[in-house]
Amino acid sequence: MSVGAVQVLFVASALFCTGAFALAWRREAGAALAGLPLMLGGVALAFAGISRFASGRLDPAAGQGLAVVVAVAALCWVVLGLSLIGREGSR
Amino acid sequence: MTVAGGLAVAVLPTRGQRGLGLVAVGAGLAGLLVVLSAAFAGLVVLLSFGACGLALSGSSYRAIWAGAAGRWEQAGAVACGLLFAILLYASWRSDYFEGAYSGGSIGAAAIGRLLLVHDGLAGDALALLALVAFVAASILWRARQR
Repeated sequence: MSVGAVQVLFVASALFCTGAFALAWRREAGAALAGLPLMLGGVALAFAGISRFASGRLDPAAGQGLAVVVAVAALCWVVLGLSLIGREGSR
Repeated sequence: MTVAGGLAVAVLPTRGQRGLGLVAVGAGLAGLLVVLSAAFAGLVVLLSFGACGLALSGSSYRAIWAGAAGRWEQAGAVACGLLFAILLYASWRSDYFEGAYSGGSIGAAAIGRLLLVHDGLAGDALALLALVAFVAASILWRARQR
């Protein structure tokens, strides 16, 4: 199976905009927070795709490395955000 | 699968459904990254999104409800649709340089060289970010228990 740059960027755009929609539309803090990893997932996919298809001019691992960084950052944001929201039953 | 999972996260009402949606997004993204010869990045994304899905599907955090969506939220949702249309058009109409890829199918060694040797400072910053986030989360979580 092979994909092209256009298909990858389509999926990355859809994921980023879906996450932005969730952040803008959902009024419950946990539901809005779930949009953040979606946006960052779209960014990670775009990085990896661009580095894969432009590897004659870019370091091929650069986009993959950025994708790893963005994925770990998304997890950190979610964990920190849930802690700031707080535990059920607390003030 | 990736886009369907993202839509599920954006519109489904319960925490469990949103968590499952995030896991589905992670699985779809990991598959796409494997197709893009970035299997190691796909594994990291799968683990990160799985952990995000587990954390967000838990019932132990508070539900902070800010009421129905107002005018600004509706404008933001419409702006997301416009942004999506612009990004689709830009992706479709742009010219792309197609290079020959020489990085292998997993990419773990290349990423290790990049994050640990060539851009070691970025790897340190990532480790520091994870450390600070998890320690702060633990402190906040336990402090609010009292």
